[in-house]
Amino acid sequence: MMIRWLFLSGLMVVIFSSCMRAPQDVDLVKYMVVQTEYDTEVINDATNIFNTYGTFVLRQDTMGYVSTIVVDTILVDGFNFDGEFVTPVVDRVTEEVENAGFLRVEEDQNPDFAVKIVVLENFSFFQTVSYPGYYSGYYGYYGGYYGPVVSTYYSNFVTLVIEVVDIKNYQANGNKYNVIWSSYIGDLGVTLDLTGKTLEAVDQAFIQSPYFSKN
Amino acid sequence: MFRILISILFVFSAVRTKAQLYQSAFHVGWNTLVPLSDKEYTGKTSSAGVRVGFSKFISDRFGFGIEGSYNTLDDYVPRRTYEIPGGAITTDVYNYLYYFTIMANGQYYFKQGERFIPYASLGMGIAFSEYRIFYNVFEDTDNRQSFVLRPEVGTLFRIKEYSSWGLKSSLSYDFAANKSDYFGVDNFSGISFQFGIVLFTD
Repeated sequence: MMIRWLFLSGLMVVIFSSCMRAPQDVDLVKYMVVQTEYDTEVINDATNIFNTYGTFVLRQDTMGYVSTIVVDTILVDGFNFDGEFVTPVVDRVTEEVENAGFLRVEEDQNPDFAVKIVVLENFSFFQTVSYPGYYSGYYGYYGGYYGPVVSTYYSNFVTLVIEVVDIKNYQANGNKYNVIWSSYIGDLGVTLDLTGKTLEAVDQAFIQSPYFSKN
Repeated sequence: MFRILISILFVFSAVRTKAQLYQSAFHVGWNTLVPLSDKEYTGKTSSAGVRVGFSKFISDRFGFGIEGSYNTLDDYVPRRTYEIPGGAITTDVYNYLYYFTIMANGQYYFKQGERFIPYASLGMGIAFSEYRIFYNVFEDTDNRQSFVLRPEVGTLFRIKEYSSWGLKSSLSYDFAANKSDYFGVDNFSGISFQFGIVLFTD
């Protein structure tokens, strides 16, 4: 009788274990999550602040870096990043903004807005993404023109953040640099093709932001 | 409803029973679940399921027991863009429903003493539903508990005339009152097909 119960118990364990399912990691990281947000006070049915812009500034060849693991504050290909990631991504963002009708200028040429690109790694004050169809809120904070960014709550992930900062209306905004558009792309830490998938996600960020245009 | 079922079982247990070969049965089996509701969340048939139960025969015709079941339902939503207030999000999503039930049931056996023992049963209990979505490395979860009702028809089959081993197959319908407002998922219903092994005991 004991053998019968052992057999049934074993069968039960086998079936139970085969029923406990979850997606495979390799399937989960097939695409990066791309979230974009915009300031509804300056981008809405009545107005679009991008129509008032003409020029932008974007630092070339470097990327902001905020990490709780290392002390570096920028990423540079071949310096503290092994491989080609920073330059292709910065170039692609530049290309997308230019394709939207804006002209890249230098910092001393009075740009209308700045585009910031920052990688957040294991940063504990950052909101990542919301469930599709569900929006939990966002508390933006901008600490300075080149200062490290951003927001609320938690993340143990590696996320690429692209932000558009309003320079043109600095004084009108009470001497504040408002973030009017943000894109969060992740997770960079688990992807099997970091540069390729990031470029694909950058493209998607602009595709899903049709208002990001001069006209 | 539960009180009525208990009362019925109590009355039947007072009926003098004919001598039976076995007094109880333990079963474990594979369960396939076809969701009938919320197919936008998990529309695929799930064969990742198990049922385990114990039945006590109180007469030739009647029995009662307890049963637990577990199924994982899942579905894949290809990459698409969702508009949200003040923005948008693009991702593919894996929807999962981990569906666990535990219930008491009463059984009516259409005939005994033969190798095929067809029956009908009605079970009631609690369903525990864990709705979980996976997208990239991110997850969202909502846990719900609710009442569940399960009418069932099936048959037991003795492998040999006096064998304590048998097989079981059944067809049942689940209705669980759970719902997830968070994921916009309503009451759950589905049809199950079970095939398993039975161990008859004294």
